[in-house]
Amino acid sequence: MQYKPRMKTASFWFLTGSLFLFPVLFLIVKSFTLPWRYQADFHMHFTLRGWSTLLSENQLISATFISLLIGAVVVLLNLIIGLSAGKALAFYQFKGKSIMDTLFLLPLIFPLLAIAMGVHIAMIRLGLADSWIGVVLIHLVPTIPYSIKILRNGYVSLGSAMLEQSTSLGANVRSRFLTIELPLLKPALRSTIFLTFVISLSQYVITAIIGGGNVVTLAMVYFPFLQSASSTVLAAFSIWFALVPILFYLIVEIILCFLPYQSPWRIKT
Amino acid sequence: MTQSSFITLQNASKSFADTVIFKHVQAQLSKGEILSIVGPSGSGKTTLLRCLSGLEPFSAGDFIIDNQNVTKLTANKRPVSLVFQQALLFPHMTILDNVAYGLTFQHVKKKERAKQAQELIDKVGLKGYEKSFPHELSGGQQQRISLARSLAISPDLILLDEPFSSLDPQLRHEMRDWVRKLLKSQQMTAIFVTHDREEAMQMGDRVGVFNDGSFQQIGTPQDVYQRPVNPFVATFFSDCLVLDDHKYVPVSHLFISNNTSNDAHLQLEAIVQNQVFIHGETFYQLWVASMNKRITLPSSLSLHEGANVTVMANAEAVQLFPEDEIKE
Repeated sequence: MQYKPRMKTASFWFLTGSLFLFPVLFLIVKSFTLPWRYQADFHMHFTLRGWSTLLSENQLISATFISLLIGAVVVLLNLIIGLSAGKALAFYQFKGKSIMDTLFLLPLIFPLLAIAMGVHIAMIRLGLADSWIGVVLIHLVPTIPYSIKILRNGYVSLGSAMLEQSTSLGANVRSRFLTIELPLLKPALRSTIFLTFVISLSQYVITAIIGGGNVVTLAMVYFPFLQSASSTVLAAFSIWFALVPILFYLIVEIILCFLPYQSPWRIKT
Repeated sequence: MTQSSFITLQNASKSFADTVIFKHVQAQLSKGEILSIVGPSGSGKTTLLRCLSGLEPFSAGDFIIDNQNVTKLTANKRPVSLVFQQALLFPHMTILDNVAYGLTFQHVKKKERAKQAQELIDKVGLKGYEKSFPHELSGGQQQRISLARSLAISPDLILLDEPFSSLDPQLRHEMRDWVRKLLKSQQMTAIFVTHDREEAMQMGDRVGVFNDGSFQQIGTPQDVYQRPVNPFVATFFSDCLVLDDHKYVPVSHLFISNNTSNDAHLQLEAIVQNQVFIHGETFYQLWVASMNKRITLPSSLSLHEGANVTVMANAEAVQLFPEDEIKE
């Protein structure tokens, strides 16, 4: 069956509208209106109650900052580990490489809860339980395998010859990393950064176990709302929750603009 | 080592674990000279180039440039630049940034970098493309920029690893002549690696035939072509019929006959396999069953496929390989 261009455009907008734009708009409207009742006359009663309840939540701002801090540190550690392990797996040949490759994926195969329970005892002994550093470390478990995979593929598609060319022209390891590797790995870096940040932001159970209630992230404040608050408040909270990665995205994009040889005014392939 | 040599390679060897890639390689180049290294795939010539560039360490031997031993220098500190088979332009940089890239590590100021890069872009005939990105250029243009980028850092030695292999035949021919002229105009000392003997002849002041991890013979293209020192060079680089380990006949001294003759010193039964037309002449590909070899000879005779013919040569045409194989 052949689609005409106009049909394609129409189906694109229909799918985007129904699956993406409508839910977002619906959520925004919901956060400003009182709950609607079925079998009643359809009337929208606008209110700011949802947002005022949310903003009066004592721990909201501090939880947001803690989530941002933990997420940022998790992302940074993921990048350091992912870039080095990904590069090694992409370019170096060594004994046990395939075993190493499998081991890196193991955290995704084992139930995260089981790992967290086991690690918890170790964390208590090391004095890392109930601290944000402990939470950062446990957040590495569900994120590192993805980072290594994504950045490894990034290095594979970059190819070793490009890096050798840079070296041959006089670049040392540091200059090459800054001028060639980072700019050319930008798509892989973006994927890694947002995936790991969103995974970290959404962790509830492992944060609760390792954080022991002392480390209050946004997820810790958000989940109790699911049962108690009204759908208006919940909608406002969901938007707030979604704004955090968007804010982080903007910060990251600004930082990425400072990489060498970036020209925001030209589109490159 | 001669007094005039600018580049000297002494007893260079390279092994990976138990596998010897090349051993005891010796070579010398004077300043501004182009040496073509030609050899079959897997002969070790690309590894030799990688070792010269510093991307791989030599297992043994010395590499001297302008009386300075650079064997221990890392690739980024060696006054050597390598042009790869692919242009490998940095896709996130403009053409100007690409050409100026190496100069940033030589602490050249930004304005001066741009000026020098611009001069080279003009020289390679791509004026007006400074602000373009690599994907906007054709394969040939990209390879020219790649060469300009390597020349920009003013290396003492430039290494070219089959840089035309990804180009179409027409463009390849044009590029050979153009690159040679450019290198000569810059008085650049260069080593050019290829598996194409015609390209080697065209590019190099001298050619080095490389096989089994060593130079089989180094000399001017004419010298190596006319006086091969061993059966491999005679087969791979020259057009010769190798009779045994000691004797060969240049194909220019062979001729085809329909009959046998008592006058000819050498007579070999052959079968016509097919014919090709090159430069206005007819060439026949013949199968010499007694030697298990195929040779190509020109002839004005009208022969059909499958015809039985005799390949002949006079006694003076048979030549001997030098007993002490002079490898320079």
